[in-house]
Amino acid sequence: MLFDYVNVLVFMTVGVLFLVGSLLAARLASRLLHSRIHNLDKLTNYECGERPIGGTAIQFNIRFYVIALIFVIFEVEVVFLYPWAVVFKDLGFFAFVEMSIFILILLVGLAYVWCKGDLEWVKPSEISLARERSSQEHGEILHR
Amino acid sequence: MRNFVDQLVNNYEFLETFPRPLLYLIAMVAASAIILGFIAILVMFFVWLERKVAGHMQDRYGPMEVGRHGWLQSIADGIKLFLKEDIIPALADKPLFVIAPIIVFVGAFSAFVVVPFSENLIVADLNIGIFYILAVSSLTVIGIIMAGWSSNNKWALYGAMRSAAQIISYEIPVGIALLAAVLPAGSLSMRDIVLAQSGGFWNWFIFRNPPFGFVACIIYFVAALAEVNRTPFDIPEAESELVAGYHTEYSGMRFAFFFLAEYANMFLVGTIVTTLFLGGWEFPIFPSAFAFLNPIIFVLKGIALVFVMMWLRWTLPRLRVDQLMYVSWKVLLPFAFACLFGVSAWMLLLHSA
Amino acid sequence: MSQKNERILSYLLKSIKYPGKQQITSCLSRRDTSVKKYASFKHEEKDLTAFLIFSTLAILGALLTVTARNPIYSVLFLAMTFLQISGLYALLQAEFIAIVQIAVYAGAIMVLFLFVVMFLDVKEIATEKNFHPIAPVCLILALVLLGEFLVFIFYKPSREGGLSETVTAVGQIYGTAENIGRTLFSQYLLPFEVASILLLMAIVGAVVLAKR
Repeated sequence: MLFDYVNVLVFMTVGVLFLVGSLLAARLASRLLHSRIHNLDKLTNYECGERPIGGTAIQFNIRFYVIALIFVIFEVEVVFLYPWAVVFKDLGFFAFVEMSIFILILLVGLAYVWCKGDLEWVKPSEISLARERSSQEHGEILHR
Repeated sequence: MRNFVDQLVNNYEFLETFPRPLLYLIAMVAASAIILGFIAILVMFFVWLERKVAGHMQDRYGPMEVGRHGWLQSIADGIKLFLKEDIIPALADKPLFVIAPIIVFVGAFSAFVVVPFSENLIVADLNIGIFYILAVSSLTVIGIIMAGWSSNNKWALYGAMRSAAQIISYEIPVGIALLAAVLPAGSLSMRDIVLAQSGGFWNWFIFRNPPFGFVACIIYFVAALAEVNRTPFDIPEAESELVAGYHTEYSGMRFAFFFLAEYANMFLVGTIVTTLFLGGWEFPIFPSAFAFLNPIIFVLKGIALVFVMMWLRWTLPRLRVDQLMYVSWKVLLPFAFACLFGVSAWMLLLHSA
Repeated sequence: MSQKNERILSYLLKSIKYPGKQQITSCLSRRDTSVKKYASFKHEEKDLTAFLIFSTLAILGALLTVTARNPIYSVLFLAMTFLQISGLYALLQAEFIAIVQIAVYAGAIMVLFLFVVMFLDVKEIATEKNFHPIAPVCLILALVLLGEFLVFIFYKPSREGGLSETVTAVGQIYGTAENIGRTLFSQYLLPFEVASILLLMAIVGAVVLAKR
């Protein structure tokens, strides 16, 4: 068994070596074939042709975090499912019942998240909030 | 691999003079190099194919200038990328910027260790084959976030975060849908899974346990499209809003690595569907009569599935981010669970009958 | 299979109750080739070299995780540590656990950590230097953990070998997904079902956390 894993390591190493080798070769070729033009603007970040404004400290949507948390939990569940799938044929009905209980408990969790609206990218409460805000602004404009 | 080398030594006696571990190492390196070269050539073919498919679907020709019907176009593109100046933005985080494409590519490439091109044409038949592929390809996410963050570019960072969120959301349906093939095979080894479907197309897992095998196959295919960031799930690199997503700042060879990884991943998805649902290397009817064609059949099945991906790309419009999450968590995940129950219930019924 | 390994295996067979027992006993009596093949790889010098490489890199990764000034680097070094640990599992013949280590820790949990770091203002934290008041408590806990490990390393189960040999022998029996499944769904049924409730609680926790 270890032999196969050594094989995997060799495989990865060959991949990395190929990448590094081709990078070096490309660099050498471009050195030989054309001159480098030094230009500071070339080294700036791309922002649609303009000079970049501000840094990249972007405030991300909290959804990313929630999705990642839920993902970790379900990934653990998937990990449990694999050994079960392998032995299911042998263990039969008993294994079916066990896994049904396991999955049903977790489906309750999924249903909970679903009902709480955490599977939506834009939560319903946020939509209504945004609507209120825009209608308020409209009101102000009308008031003026 | 081990058996192969041992057999070789038995047949050719002069090999006995070399130490056995050295021979194993040489065989391993040779096998990896062959697979690497094969994938590189296949990717070039796919790039050309994609452009031709796109062209013909839009009632034009696509590349026509370089070679007959542009068949040398990919090589021209390759030379262009090879000779491009290597630019690393001044504000980029250099070490991570350099490592990121390597991780993304190696994550895609090392999955091919367990791909069974035919019964014996498999680099290493790991006991946990398909699960290994899931694990290794999940490393790609780290590479993508590294690329996006180290570029120090707003588009790249947004693209990386979207891409990561998308990949992890679709990872769960992928993991569960694949079980529809693992259950009837009773093994995770790729070779065993194909052997469990031998003897004609009616034994393939896509037709087994109807209709759940078929539905699971579709679920896997759709979710895998999202995992490799293909249209209609290409919001992470939507060129009309995010320039090019996480590889905005990459140019020349470094960009080529991402490109290579993307197309290698497409072929990987094709081979996984082939192995788990479409009978692997077997010809649809009278498989034993066509045994000599096995590796070619396997690759052709993979290419056909890649063609389907291209077809979808030029047919369907892109999804919005919220629709993306909806499809993954509220459509594919429940259906994948239903498939799991369905397949296991079918198997119980058939066993007791 | 060496004499010593065989003795360890038979010792384990006597001391542990598990469903696959008969199979493995028959395996042993028949001198099954697969077991032989696994065993032949053990306790050879290259194993030791591999162990040293993996563990050195793991420790290095852990140290860099703590000392790196940039949280992103910390997370990536942690991912590296996890990959090395997965290599160590593979050395112990626990292939399923090795892959789980990559899928769950290096894949899933690291992505979660990276997302969390993305929410923080990275540059600000990179310049912060002061120690948290809880640091001494952490130090004590770490020392206790170290002590436990030392006890385990030098403790010998009454009959045979040290911990590492026992663990390797267990890995030979339980390493594959099939054997893990067989044990998990018969002997350790209750912990398995309890795990689902734990996961349910984690889901609820995630939702509650997101509210704040």
